[in-house]
Amino acid sequence: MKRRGSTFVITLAVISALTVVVAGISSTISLASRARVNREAARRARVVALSGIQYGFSALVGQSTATTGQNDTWATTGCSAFTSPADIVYQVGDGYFRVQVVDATSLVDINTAPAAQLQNLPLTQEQVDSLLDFRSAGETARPDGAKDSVYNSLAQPYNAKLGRLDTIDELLQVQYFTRDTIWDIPTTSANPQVATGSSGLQPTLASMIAVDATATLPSGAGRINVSTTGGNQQQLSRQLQGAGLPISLVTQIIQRRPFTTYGALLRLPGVTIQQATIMLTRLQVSAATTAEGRINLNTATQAVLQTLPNLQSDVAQAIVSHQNSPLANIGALMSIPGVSVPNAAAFVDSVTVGSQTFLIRVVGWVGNTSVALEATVTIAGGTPKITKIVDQPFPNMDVRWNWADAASTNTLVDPSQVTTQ
Amino acid sequence: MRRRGVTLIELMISLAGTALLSATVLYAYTNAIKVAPAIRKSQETIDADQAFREKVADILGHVYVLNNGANVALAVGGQRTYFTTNPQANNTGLSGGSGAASSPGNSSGSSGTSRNAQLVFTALGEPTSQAALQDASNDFVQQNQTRGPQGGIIEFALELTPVGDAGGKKGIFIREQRPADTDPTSGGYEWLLLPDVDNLMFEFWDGTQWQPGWDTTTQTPIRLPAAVRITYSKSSDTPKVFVVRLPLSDATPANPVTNFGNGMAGGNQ
Repeated sequence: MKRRGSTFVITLAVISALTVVVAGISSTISLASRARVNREAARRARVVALSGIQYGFSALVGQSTATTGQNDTWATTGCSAFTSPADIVYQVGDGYFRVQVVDATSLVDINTAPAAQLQNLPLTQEQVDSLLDFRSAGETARPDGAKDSVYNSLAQPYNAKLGRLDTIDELLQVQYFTRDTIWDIPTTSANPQVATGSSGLQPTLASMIAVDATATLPSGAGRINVSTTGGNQQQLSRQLQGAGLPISLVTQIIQRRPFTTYGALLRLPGVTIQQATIMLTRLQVSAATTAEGRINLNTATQAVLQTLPNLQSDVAQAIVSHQNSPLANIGALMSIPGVSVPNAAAFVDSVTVGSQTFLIRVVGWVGNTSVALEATVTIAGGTPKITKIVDQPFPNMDVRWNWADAASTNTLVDPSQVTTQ
Repeated sequence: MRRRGVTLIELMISLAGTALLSATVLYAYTNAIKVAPAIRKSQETIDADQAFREKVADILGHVYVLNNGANVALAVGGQRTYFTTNPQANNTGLSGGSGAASSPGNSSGSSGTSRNAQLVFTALGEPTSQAALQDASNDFVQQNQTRGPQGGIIEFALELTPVGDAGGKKGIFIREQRPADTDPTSGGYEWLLLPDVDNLMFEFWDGTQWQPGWDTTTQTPIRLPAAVRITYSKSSDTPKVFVVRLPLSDATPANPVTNFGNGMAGGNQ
């Protein structure tokens, strides 16, 4: 006998099947539409981030390359104070960006830093050797390093670059470097400890390094050149005495020429602080006007200054505490309390007070989608120019760049004035 | 009370209504079934076209050439970067387009005659693979095995004729080599980016007009065009055109590029 109610069960089954089909179709459409919306949001966030780069760039127009300090316009662009980077949120229509302009010479240049300086970064000996091997010519690897033989034996082989790195993320091609080395905030006690404070406050490697950092060298018509042996000795003697150096020191300088470093000058016997100031301010030891890899005394953090092999921590601290009164020239270094002639001689050729390279770090976002970019700006012949724009790997680069918390909002473009097409 | 049934007329009307409704639904359904493949194909074509444009705009947006006329000191390390329409010396395949009077935003102009067009360039700042960044193993050798080398400068080539075997495929091929080496003619992986394309042409905005070729390897000073115009089509179709701006170019109407590399001089007047 046919059971009563079977029609009802069949109807229910059909309705359920139909519901499943409709739900499936709806879910597919919803996923596709969400992907489209996300792509669009990412594109708009990128446009907002690019506008942030232009905003930062505008702060570098007219920037002097002779002296770069924390009182310059760029230093307080995007923030309420130099020590609270990017704490202002800028609104552009329905998007937002935060921006920080960084003096590249306040960072360690991994293309030029010698082994002793790299070892003071949170890197292992294997990483230091591998980086040096990767960026320098020759096929002989250091004890813990790697050349082509190692990279060619990888599953997806390539050659060691044997040249300068172009981006920070290129470190991922160097043996022993991975994401955690570069971008992760050290959560365990770093060795060596790169910054004072708890381990949670340790900066990421990415926030301490750069690949382009061109500094301005002391030069100019008023300087007396002691880098050659030629010239009229009597005239040179008169010039040096006229600059304020005593005859005994003048004689030593003339006899021991050529000098290619200020360190060698400061190591002459009996040089006083005043004489060291004169030598750094009035003498010239190189025809070059720029050099890569020097650390800017006016803008570097203590953690970065302490990577210089011959710069003691108390001197680094003294330099940082003096940064609210930027040094106008390298000779002013001697006026900082705690800086003696011998310790200045040890690091003076690794530092600068003027920069020609800046980084503009930006995070732009629309809704929940964010894009982080870093642009490199070089100032050549007085004109700033954007030479690189590099996508950053993480949307939360604000944390990895050690930015301050957002404190205020500045509306650049009123959303009510924006027509969306 | 006696229950009244339906009349024959009522029954006929309801039957006719049901039949009409069924016929309409059936007609719509069969039609939908019939045109569905065509709609799907058309949507796929639009999607593929959109994906192609987005990819090309993305990689061209990251074009990077060292010593871009700005800072000679940055050129240490040799000529590893390039932006060139033909790395094999002679650009005989690119004899120029048309549309000199058009602006970079104007998509009218060139007709897509058959050319073996090729554009090879280095790009920087393409996002690192998120999969590699999220990889919990964090092991250099293992990551290379699963994701390949990451970061740094990438070489891209867009061309109709791949370096390797096309495998019977036809269209615009993309070649990607990471890290870029000093050789712009080969290396890396290549795949079909947009199928069924017969014509491809690149033109370059020098600040005042479109140029048919560009070669930074023989250019002094090294400068990038302000924008690239890409024209592509199937042999019988109307050419499609789009323009991509290069963010790192300094070419402007007031400061146009005048040297485009050896054999590249002379634009569309």
